[in-house]
Amino acid sequence: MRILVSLVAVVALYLLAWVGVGVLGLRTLFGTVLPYAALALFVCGVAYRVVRWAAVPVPFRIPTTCGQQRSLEWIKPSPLENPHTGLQAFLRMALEVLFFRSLLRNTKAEVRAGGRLIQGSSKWLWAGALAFHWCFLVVLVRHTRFFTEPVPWCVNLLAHLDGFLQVGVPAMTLSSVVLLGALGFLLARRLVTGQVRYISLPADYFPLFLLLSIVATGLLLRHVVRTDLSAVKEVAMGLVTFAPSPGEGAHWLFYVHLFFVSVLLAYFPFSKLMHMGGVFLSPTRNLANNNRAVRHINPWDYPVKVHTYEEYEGEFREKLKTAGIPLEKE
Amino acid sequence: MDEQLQAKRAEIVRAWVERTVEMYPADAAKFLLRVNDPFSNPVGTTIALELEFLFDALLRDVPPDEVVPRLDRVIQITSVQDVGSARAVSFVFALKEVIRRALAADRADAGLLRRCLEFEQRIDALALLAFDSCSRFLQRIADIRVREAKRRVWSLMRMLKVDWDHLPAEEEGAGG
Amino acid sequence: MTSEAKPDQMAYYDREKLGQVDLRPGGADWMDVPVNMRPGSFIYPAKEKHLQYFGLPNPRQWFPTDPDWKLPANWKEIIIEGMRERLSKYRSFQVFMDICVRCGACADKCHFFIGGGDPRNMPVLRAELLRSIYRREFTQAGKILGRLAGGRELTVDVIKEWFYYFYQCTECRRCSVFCPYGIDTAEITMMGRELLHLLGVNVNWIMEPVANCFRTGNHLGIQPHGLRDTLDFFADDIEEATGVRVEAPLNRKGAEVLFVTPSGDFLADPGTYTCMGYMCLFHEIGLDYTFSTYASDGGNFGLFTSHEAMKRLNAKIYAEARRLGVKWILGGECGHMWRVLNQYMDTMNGPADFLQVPTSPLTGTRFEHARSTKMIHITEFTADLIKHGKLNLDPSQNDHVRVTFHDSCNPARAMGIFEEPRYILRSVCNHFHEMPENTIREKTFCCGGGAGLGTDENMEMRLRGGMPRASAVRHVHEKHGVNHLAAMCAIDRATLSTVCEYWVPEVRVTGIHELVTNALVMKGQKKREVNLRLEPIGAQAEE
Repeated sequence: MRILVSLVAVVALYLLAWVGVGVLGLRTLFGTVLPYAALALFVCGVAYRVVRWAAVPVPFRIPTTCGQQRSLEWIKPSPLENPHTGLQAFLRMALEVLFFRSLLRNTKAEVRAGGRLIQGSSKWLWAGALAFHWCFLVVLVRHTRFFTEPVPWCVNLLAHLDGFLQVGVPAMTLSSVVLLGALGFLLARRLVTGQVRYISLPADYFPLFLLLSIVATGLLLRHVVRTDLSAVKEVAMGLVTFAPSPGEGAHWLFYVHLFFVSVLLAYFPFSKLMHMGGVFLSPTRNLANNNRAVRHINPWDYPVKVHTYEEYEGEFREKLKTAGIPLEKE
Repeated sequence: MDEQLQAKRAEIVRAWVERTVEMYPADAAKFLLRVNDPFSNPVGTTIALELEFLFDALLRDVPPDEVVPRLDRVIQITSVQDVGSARAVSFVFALKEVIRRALAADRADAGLLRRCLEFEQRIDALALLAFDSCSRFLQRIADIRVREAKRRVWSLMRMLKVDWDHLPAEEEGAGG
Repeated sequence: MTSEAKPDQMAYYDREKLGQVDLRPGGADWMDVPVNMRPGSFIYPAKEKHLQYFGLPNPRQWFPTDPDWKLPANWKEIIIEGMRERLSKYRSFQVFMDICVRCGACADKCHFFIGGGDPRNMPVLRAELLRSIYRREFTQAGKILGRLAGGRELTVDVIKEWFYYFYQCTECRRCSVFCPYGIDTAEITMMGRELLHLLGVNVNWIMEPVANCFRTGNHLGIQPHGLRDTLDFFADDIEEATGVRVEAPLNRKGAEVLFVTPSGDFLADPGTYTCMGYMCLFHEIGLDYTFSTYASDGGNFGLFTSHEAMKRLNAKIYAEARRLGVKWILGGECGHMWRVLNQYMDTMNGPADFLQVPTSPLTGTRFEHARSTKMIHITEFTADLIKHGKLNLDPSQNDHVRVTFHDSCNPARAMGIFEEPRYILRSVCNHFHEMPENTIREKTFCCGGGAGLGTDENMEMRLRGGMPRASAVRHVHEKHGVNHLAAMCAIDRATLSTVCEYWVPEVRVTGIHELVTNALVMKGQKKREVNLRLEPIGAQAEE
């Protein structure tokens, strides 16, 4: 049910774009109006979410420590697992954001026949997630060649390296293939692994289906439909220079691709995809574990009712006296 | 009979393990069956390992004093699942059905049912041991409750010179 | 059973005709399955008098299996407002509500899920219990799309579910270690419990200690003369074991150090031996220190109640340090106490500018990492003493002990104090063996009784939750003959004793400083033949 709803939603989006451009020829709507609207939603939405998060105070410093603290001189601390300074916390975050350090922790031991213990690991989630995110970034950067004139050398270099396998004309890019594979893996995992399927919501399937559709339409455009790239670039340049061009020469599937991307952009700020921004604000990861060295201030701290020593001594005076314990007031 | 069962050993043990973890919710059962890590999944791996041993023991007619410690390891787990003692030992009985299903294809064999019933007598003997084991663990839990309560006020009891020798003694082996 | 055959015919068992058992996850959505309150898994409600004494709302008589929990008439409004307030005060709460992607990395990391198999004990689902309400009430998508956006209606059943599952979490933070965003279930559970407190839904095992602690300074309600007698009694036992008479000063003004330890060490076996251990050590090195009757508990069940309760109970420590005029504070072996001291105390009740940076009077070491809080952990202090050769140790006195070390959740994952206790253990015991790698240090398994769950009505649940830890203990017991499990946490010493008695009865639980003192050669001691438990020691104790 949860899966079906998400799938139906994506198919509906596809049909919408196909009818809109392929049948009704609404190129301006799908090529200009919606992308601008989606981008505006994305930028404002993400900014709004991040600003809102940042506006919420962090009353206590509560990092999760995953390594030795800094204490005695002769005990070696683990600055990346248990940062003591801001810089170390920054580096810990970098490991987390760039290499998904925590997912890599999934080590486990296995017992083989005969009861022998073997240390192994379960790093599939880490590998799949890392492959997806990095390839997505590479594909994104490669796409800047549509939005820049002249194309920066680094983008060209990246595209060149990406296509080093030299399979097909134009060359099949490694990143797209891995991206597709990784997405497929992440989806399969959700469908097959009992626990993960149990916890998954439509909001987990929908982005996966959407991303898969984006990659699939992209691959089709490049390798099967072989749409007119100059027309695509015309549309893209038109968007960035605020001189929109309808791009008459582009295949209708290109508008489907663009529409999917627009939907992704518009959906992004309201979804779990905001983990991209949230990870930087997670108080258990982005703070140094130096509570005992540097006092953390709670901005909304307020006085509370306590049981003072005077009240305590008042209640237990006789008992304190009998036990020979010194008193403030005899 | 034993040869027939020996031939289907892997299949029978697997089915038996599956039936045993049924006392858990379905999604947990999946985890218990799939994660092969004794420390991340002690329940599943213990059940799989010990049921395999118990099945072999039934085939070889191993004496009870060797069987009990291994049986204990399973019952020790099932006794704390809040499912009641009947369900805590029900996995032993499940083996009967597992075996009959495994041998169902050979039903043309006229003497099979009789031999099946003979083998099931061994399962019944195992079931009796399981009852014993389960009641032992339930008793252990009751004792532990008392001893924990006792430990909580240990210094107080000693200061008051309370003699608690009448309270449940530590089990053999405890205290190293 | 569609088959024509009878059970006494083999055909009855033909797999072709009988459906195989379906082990695929149930088709039902977890949101549709109402909570099933199993006795043995829930804790009894707080008594009215404790809520009244501490000043918490809605004291009344009720029971978890009652249909009517006698919630306030406007309970729904209270919860929604309570959530709104906390979302605006704790970034952790707001961010953790928003960013989970349900990747499942945490799913099999919880000891209660591993040992008990209830899917709502998967950390992600525990958080979804709150998140589903958050989406429905606080996000546009949830308000419009409801269930499709993962939202659900707030009903009394949801409150019951929260009560059941937020008191099946020990706030151990193991799942947080594996989460790519550091989502901390302890934080979620703390918020869930704060919300429940607004309705007067709470458990006696936490509220009684909280009320006691507020009044008498410690969870057990030990009054000043009782503490005096207890410590004197310990001194008698120490004299019997070592031949040395030690003193335990109470509320002594002008001492250099205030010593604060969990009150479990005063009363409960085997924590009492650890307390005797501290007393011997301090005597031996001539530390100028004092215990306090007013600050007679470093432990703080307020942590398991609410941030406000935590602050109210913690305030006494700095207040007492100021009153007694000590220079710095030393803390004993405790788990959640150190979470409070390390991550909350200075912020809540500081600054401690009237104290000095802790400095060991024997070695001169300045504990710079505690320069603001002015409080150090006793294993930091003792490790430093041993490193500088200030203790005369004879580890052979512990030769009958084959020990492994259990990293307590809070010192591990809220401090990162891994090497200090290990260094001490290796110095005082000749036989030290680590448990498997994925069950120690930051990946350590909880005892199953932390965060106020260590009572007896939920014994089965605790034994299930303690099983992952016990499996690792059993492993080293079988492989290395380990017979002692050392832990630097009072709750561990109480609950792991129980866990071990059930799963690995051959292993007993001990504290670090119990072992230190058993290896300590004290000035003027008689020939040591028994340990602090008055049992034979060393080689002669080996079987």
